[in-house]
Amino acid sequence: MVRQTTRTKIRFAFATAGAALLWMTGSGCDSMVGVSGANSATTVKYRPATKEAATEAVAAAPGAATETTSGEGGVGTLKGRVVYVGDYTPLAPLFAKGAAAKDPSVCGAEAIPNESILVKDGGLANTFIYLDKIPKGATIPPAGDPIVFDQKVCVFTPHAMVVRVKQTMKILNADAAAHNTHTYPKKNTAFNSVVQPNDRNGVDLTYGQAEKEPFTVGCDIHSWMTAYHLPLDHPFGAVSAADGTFEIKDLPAGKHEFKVWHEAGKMVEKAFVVTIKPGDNEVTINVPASKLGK
Amino acid sequence: MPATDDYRYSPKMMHKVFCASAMLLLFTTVWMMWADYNDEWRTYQRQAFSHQAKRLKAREDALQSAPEKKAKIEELAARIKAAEEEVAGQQATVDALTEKVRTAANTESNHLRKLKNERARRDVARADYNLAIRDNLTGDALAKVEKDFNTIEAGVQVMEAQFAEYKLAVDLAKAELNEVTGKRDAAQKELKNEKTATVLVHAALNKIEPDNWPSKFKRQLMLLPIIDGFNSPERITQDWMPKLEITLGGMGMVSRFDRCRTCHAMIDTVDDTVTTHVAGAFPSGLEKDGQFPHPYSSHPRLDVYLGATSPHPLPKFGCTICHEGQGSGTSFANASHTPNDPAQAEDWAEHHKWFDNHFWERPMAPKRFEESGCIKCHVNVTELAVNPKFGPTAPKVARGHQLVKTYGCFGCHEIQGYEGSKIIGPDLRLEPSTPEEAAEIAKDPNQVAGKMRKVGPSLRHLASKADAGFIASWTEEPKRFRPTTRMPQFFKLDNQQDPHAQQYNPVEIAAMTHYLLGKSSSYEQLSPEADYQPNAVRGKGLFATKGCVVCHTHEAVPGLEASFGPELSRVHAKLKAGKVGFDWLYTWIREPERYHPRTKMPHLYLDAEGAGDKRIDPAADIAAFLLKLDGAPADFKPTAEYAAPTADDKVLDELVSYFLGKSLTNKQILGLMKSGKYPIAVEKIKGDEIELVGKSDGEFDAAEFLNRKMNYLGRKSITRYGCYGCHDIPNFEQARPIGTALQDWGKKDRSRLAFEHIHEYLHHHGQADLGVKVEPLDAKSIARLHIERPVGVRVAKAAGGSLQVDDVVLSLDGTAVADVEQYHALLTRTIVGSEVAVGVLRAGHEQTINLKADASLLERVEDGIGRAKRHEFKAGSEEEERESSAAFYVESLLHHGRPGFLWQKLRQPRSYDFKMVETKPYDDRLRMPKFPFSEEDLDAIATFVLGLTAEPPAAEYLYNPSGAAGARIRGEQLIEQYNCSGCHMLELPKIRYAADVDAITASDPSVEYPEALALLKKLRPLREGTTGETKSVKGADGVVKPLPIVQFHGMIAGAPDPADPPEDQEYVVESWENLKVAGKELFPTYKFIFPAANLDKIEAARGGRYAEWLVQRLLDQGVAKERSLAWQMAPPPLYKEGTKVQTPWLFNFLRNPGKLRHTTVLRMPRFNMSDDEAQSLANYFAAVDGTPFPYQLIAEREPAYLNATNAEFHKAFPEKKVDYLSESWQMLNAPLCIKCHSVGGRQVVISDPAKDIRGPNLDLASERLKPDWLLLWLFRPQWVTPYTSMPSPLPPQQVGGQPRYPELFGADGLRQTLSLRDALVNYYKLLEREGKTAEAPKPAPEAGGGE
Repeated sequence: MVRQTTRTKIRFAFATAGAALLWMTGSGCDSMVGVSGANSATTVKYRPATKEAATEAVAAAPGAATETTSGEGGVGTLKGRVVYVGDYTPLAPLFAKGAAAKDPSVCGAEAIPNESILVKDGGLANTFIYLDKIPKGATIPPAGDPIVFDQKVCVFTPHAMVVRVKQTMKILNADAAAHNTHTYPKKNTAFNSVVQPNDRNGVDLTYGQAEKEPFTVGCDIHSWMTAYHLPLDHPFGAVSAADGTFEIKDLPAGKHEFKVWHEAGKMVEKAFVVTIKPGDNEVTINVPASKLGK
Repeated sequence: MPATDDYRYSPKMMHKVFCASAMLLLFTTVWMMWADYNDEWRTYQRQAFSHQAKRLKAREDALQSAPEKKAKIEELAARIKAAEEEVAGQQATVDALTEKVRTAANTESNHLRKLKNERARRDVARADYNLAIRDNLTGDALAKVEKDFNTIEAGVQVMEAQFAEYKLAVDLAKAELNEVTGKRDAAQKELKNEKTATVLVHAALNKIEPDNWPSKFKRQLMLLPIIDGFNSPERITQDWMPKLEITLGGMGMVSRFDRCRTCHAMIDTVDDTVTTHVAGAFPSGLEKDGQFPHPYSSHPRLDVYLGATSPHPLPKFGCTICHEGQGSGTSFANASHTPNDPAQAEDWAEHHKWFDNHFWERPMAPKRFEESGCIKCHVNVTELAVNPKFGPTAPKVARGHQLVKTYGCFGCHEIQGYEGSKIIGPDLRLEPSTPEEAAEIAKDPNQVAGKMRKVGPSLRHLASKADAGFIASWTEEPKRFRPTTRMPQFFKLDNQQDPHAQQYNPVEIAAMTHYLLGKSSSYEQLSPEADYQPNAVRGKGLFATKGCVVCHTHEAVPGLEASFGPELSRVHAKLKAGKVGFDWLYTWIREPERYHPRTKMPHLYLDAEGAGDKRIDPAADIAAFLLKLDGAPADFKPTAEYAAPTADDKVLDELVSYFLGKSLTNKQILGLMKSGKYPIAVEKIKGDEIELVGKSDGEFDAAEFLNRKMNYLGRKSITRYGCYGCHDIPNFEQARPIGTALQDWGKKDRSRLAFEHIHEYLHHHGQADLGVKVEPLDAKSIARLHIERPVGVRVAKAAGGSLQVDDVVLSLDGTAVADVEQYHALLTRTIVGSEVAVGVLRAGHEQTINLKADASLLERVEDGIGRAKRHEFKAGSEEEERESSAAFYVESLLHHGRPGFLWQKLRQPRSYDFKMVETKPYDDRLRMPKFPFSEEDLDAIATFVLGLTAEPPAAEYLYNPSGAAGARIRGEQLIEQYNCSGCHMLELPKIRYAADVDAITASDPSVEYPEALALLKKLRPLREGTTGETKSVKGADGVVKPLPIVQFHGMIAGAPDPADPPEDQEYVVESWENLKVAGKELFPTYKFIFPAANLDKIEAARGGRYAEWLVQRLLDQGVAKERSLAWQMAPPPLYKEGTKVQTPWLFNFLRNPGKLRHTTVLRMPRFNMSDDEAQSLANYFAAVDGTPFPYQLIAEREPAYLNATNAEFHKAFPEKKVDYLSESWQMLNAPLCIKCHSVGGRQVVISDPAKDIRGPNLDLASERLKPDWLLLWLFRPQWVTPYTSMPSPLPPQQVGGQPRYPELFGADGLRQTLSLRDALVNYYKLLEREGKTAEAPKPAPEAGGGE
């Protein structure tokens, strides 16, 4: 029933696509979606996070508005970039070199960066783009090789990562001071264990449950240390790289609702709708500064 | 002629008379026998037999038709048949063998007969020999008897041997036969066993309804009159309790005989088809629901009452010790049943010939008072409300007890629980008011001191707190200032509406105010630093985070609505102006015990911190918030003004003269009033008149004499109204309670209750009513009346008067009206005849109308009874309950019953003075104040007070346990007294859900030390998680199927989000228990994730509302980023506290709580607790968790342990030069613990206290923690406290892991963990021996691990 209504709305919107675009900008909507690239038939729709305001707008080249249905067959790759919309001044480091509040001889070796919002050439890093459920018709490859979660100069690397359920994560420590890696998941059991100084063999951690949202990882000894993990039971999630780019492979063709999450603004988009066609699909996700509390 | 019979009488007539009288006698005899036979109880017993027979039949059928049973029997029958056929095939062999057995057995028995004869002869010979020894026979004589014996014995021996042969032959023959028939016999035996249950049921049934005619005939015969005297099936059932005596007025104490079971035949019948005997076999209820009405039902809680394993087994307790009534009565009326309301009384009178038997002094308690009897034995009451095994078994009487304690009834009405040192009932008495009095009582072995504090604040330093205007206004009508106050109202009541009282009361109030202020002494107040500017905004935040809201409500900080302490929204309108008022509040917040040494308000350690601009004085900030301070403390101006009370001189003189009239002559009084000189010497005056006498007996000038007169009248009034029952007031230290003692009020002679003109009063008044009928606001009227906020109740019917139809009543006396129930509840709390301020919305405009609330209570009750009889109430509705309850009490009142008297006394204490004040001396007027009790409160208080009979049962029945059970009771009382559960969770939320047990993954034991798991199981024994119940749930596949219900205690980590699609609605709950579900072990912190539809029930936590509220607040305000971190800032749950802390430490901590945690936003306050109380509370936690108290052995400090461990250490590490403890000390001081804890004399480095997690100082651990708990904590802290930040320091290492601290204990994590525990337990010894570890830990070298 809901789907039917939505579809009608979409058709209406398609018919007045240009007007919709105008309306969207005119009504002061924060987010815009641009489409570019090889496959001009890709349809991208944006739905605001709040339910009440769930009006759909469509941004697509006029005439290219053909709807795809899922299960059509074939897989596509989503290549995209998360763009920070607004003025960005690089954030001052949490601690200057040598000024770390604890274990200064170890943690003070370098400045400790403030990674809460990192923008490079307009691209927003450390943004999670993911599906919260396994899409229909998807084949789920096994979890794959262990991945590394390191602690260097009292900073977690990587700062944000997607990990597969049952995938081994090796928690390492490159510092000459002990860290306690402490996760705050909602559905998984919290992990809180000391990782010895210079432990390059590390401690293994696997998540047993997929989560709906990324959660914080911290160190209680060095309270500034923060990272974000998102365990998923499928491979359709990515974290934007330093320049804001990301890639999600092997998506079944059809319509998908992605979640876009960033630590500063939490759930930035609840349902970022992308229709995947076989082959490469490109999107740009614009995240206005206001959504990140700026 | 000799006279014949005819001469003397007419034989014909005689025959007629004789015949008639013989007939009459016969009929009378038959009638007499019939009447004797035709008892009421037989009807019930027959019906009971029929119910039992029906149930037995059903059970027999069920047993026989049970498929598995049926199959088994069929299988056995088949087996028997097959075996029989087999036997039949060898009939000849069987016959031959049977014959062989028979012959052998015959031979054996024949031989045995002879043998027995010979054995007897041998015994005679032996006796003869023994006699010969006794008679000192010697030589031949002795030799002969010995020889005789030997001869016979030899013969017996031969025969015995022969017998053994024969016996063997029989056995062999039988075995031979068994070879052939064994199978058949075994199957037959099995079949018999299989049928045992059925046979037993059938036998029971056969007793009631025989299945053969001789038995039937015998049963019918035994039921006949006369014959029934000989063990008839119908008979009076009698329980005899020789030790539970009963006083029969004037006849002394006699043993108790209860015949209740004659009619209530199935009262103790357990349902043997279920394992739990909570419910009986005949559940109580309506017949149409397949249940059993009285008297055919079983007792509702056979696990608590009557059951053989219950604490009140039937043979020991009987019935009337709890229920009262006439146990020996065998008819409905004679048993003294008591109806629960008048409608029921009429029904009983009609159907059961019931009447109110005035002659039996102990009528059965009606249902509403069924818990009254409990407190005869349960003198501590507490265990009736909180019980680990049975739950709340008598919550109403416990609530009554609680109300009496909360409102301080014992201040005026002593409730003496002791006769000398013997317990006679619940004890609620004021504590000694001076140390001298306490010492005196302590010396006397026959006295036990009271324990209750006065419930009101001390008035000893009142002048520093409030002005005369406020004090007078408050005294006159406390709820005018604070509608929720517990202080009762003494003035403006029913018997003070006459001109006399109207004239006197203001003068009395002015005099009391004068006295209190005049006698008030100063005390040392605290002030914030002179230049400190209190910050009201910050104060509001601190009011929430420092725990004030645990006990107090403030409209600016909503959410908890606590009522333990007074509501504080209007404090700014009551205190003295300027710095004095501010400092009073500041001192009160910082050190409440300065103002009131016995206050329940704890010392919160709100000490000022920081200097200069950074200085924060939380007490000053909170005071500023409460006082709405905008500026310096000296600028404080109360937001309300009160006119100072004035006393008319003439009235004052009149009152003074009146009261002096009790001790002086008129002439003396006139002289005194003229001269100011008291006519009696100062040393001869004992009473309040002392106020009128100067030290030197001198005369006073007019001003001083006025002051004296005011003091005298003030003191006299305080004496009369008994203010000192709740408040500490100068000169009243020795004063005795003014009211009637209540310890035996429950059996007070009704003729001693003064009902006066209450009937007339109730006829015309007695019902707080605005004369209108109200209804809830429905959507229609909301729309029609254009109401913006749907609050209040709508007037549906009005007969003239000030209120009109469609008025919406918004508030009564300033309290908002939410619904009809509350409207009635608020009205019952107003005073009949006095004015009520009614907030009304009329035609869109809000206005206040003052109305007299008055109506006839009798009319209301009659109406209620009529409606009940016409079945106009919705069955079981609150309205029906309210109206029938009122009707019950009024009927009781009209029949001069105790419940009715008490009820009216509590609702309208002065109504008994109706039309009495006209003829009564002013001094004799009733002075009982009016308390703001609701109808439920009254019911609960009546239940408690009526149970106070001061008739203790035999000592063995008194429940006053020592040991763990006693410690629990005392602890529960203290938890309630100090509101411990306001902050702390004592029990975590209980979650029940339908579990897909196959999908549950067991915790992985391979990643733990086996020693750790063993310890976990020791401290947290595995508990079965499934309840045995099921719940039907629709699965993902759409199929509804029953799933087992799993139950556990834990914290809800994630609740369903309504915004999510239905299939994603789920709960995530963190279990704190060590559980076993479907054979899988789930260690603590197991996260249960289940669909919302599978939830069965969430039972809220016991206590800790504040902690939960604070956690949410800290998260909402962003103070804490994660829920687990917020929990570390809040008061911790006291889950399994007894397994954690050492009792002596807890005692000291409760007396003087030092700073322990560094993560919390508030500190454990210091309560004004006695040593005895602190001990009891410390013991409580140990008792709850079943650990020994008050002392615990610390085995890890004993030489035995240390020597053995050291020896083992050197064996494992022969190259080590240091001893075990030294190496343990090094482990403790390694760069591990110091990261977060101060240890070994070194302070932890914390950069930002708001962000860095700082653990407790480890020097506290050795005295505080139990070694086992400490070790478990070191193994895996999350098992103990799931939200902790403490990491597992040395968990088992993965294969190929990098060695940790290789120079210590060979990098063996288990040894290292144990050594940490041992170093902590022996901390002080090691600190002294090894010395402080002074230098900061060096960073670890680049590669290779720890130092």
